[in-house]
Amino acid sequence: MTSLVPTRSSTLPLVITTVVATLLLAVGILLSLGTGEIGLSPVEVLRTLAGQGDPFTELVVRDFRGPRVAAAVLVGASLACSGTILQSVARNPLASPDLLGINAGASVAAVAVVILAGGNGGVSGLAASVGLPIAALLGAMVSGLALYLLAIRNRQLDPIRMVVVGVGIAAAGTSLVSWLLTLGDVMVVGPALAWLSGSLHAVTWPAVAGVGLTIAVVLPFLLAWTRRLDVLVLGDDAAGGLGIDVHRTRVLLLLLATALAGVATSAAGAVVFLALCAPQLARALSRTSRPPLLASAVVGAALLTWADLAARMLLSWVGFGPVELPVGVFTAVLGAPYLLFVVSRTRSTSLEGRRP
Amino acid sequence: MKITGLSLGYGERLIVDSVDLEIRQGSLTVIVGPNGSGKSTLLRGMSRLLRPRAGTVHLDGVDIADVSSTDLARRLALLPQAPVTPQGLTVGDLVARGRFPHRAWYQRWSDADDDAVRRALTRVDLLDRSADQVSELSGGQRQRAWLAMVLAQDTDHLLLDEPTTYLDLAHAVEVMSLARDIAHESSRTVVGVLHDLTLAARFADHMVVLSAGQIVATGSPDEVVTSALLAEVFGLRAEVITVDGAPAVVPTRHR
Repeated sequence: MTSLVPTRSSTLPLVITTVVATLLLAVGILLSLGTGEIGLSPVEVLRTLAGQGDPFTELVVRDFRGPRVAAAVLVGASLACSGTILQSVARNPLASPDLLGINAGASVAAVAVVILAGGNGGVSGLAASVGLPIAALLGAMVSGLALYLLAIRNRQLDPIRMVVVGVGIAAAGTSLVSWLLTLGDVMVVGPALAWLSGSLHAVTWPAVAGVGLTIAVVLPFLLAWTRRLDVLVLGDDAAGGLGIDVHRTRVLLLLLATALAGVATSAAGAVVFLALCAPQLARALSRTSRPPLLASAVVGAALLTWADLAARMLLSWVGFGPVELPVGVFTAVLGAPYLLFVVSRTRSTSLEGRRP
Repeated sequence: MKITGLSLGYGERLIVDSVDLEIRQGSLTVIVGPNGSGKSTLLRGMSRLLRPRAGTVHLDGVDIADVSSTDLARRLALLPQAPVTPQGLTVGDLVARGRFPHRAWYQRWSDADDDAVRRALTRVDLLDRSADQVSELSGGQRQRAWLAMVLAQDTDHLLLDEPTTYLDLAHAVEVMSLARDIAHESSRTVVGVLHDLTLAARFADHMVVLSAGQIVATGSPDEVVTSALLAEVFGLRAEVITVDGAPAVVPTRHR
């Protein structure tokens, strides 16, 4: 008797997606480490990474571009994981930390720190290097908590309510940010705006380590829980009947998604749409019934690495000189049409799939 | 399955009021009642999806309040009302998820899992469709796929919440006769909630009539489905005729 496993949905597209995304990620990393004012060939980059470079290339690769490229990889992966979790928890392809207001919470807190602590001359010293990331993380946690409290009905976390409440929190957060910006003086508003548009420009190794550590803790746990996610997308009653404590599972997953998004945002600012697109792109390519966790993480990392490279170099490639775009602007330009595409394709009656 | 003094409710509202009920093994029991009588709520209480205000549910002498969720899911399966299938899910994948309570997170797919899925798919006659997307199936086939999912769970007790909702009569009959056969052939305890009285009377071994959260009648379809009961519980003027040895409800034309 042959196993039924082959007649279940094929895992081949998933494997191919993961492998191709990993290759694209590796190429992106090499190119990104080698591209800039000082150009290095991929071979030179590899030699430097292997510890055989001269002190100068080492300085460029490790100290100048290293944190930035590592941040792109890790921030991309953690935003994508966060989106994957939220989309499975809310059973909705539109759920992501940006649309559910988690990033808005981070933005409000970060901008508040910049405006209120900055005074004239912008944020500096402790407020910038420690205060801002921690404020952003706390802000994300606060809106995650608000989302949880407001989306509870009959002691259950209602997925539809979660999306509606999340959109509300995001809107409230965005208007708070606008108001805060009108309070600050021009010198201070500049850096706040730069942070808001999402930039990997000023990322430091400690911030990168924070994101890396969070992923290192959360990802193995999530991978052990993939079957739980598989069951959770079948609906609350079906999942409950299969022996899952739906409420507890959802709350824990929401907490993890918030932590991932909060840490990523605290390091890189508001990088929008990535958490929305990467999981759905991975899902479409690997033809799975929910966004696949590992593949989404790799796709997210690859997307942000390439987006950062493009944001960094695009204007100089077309002859504008060495002017950088914030990577968040770039992901927004790519992500907005995608969002419209999803909305237009989603059946108006149900965001959850089809009824029998 | 033995239910003792079970009370259930949401928030302030009490919906099922101290119900006592014994359900026989190897038979199909169908719970009927008017809208809002608490049928589905009772089923949720029996499956512990809803924690009781008072009372107990025992499966083979074990109080379901005392077992872990996974342990309970190995003893009792629930087919929810109008389940939603995620897009892109194949029949085989859906049914395989019925094995969730039998595998710890570190355990790989085993021959026993494969066997249970194959048996379930064979039972509902969908083995040759296992690689197809659930969304490509007809309504009746889709409901059979979900039935296979709970069958793969391999439990002694099976609860079906309105399993014929959205199905046309032919498919509804198909699902109900499958439910009855499953109860008879494997001595499982199968309990269904239905709102169609004639359909219930056709296939049930036992019927339970619920009204305003309380049981008002139990027994074989013959004993339960009478003109007097229809008038009293459903406020319906109808004649009950016997076709093929089972009662059928025919509403009168004049109210």
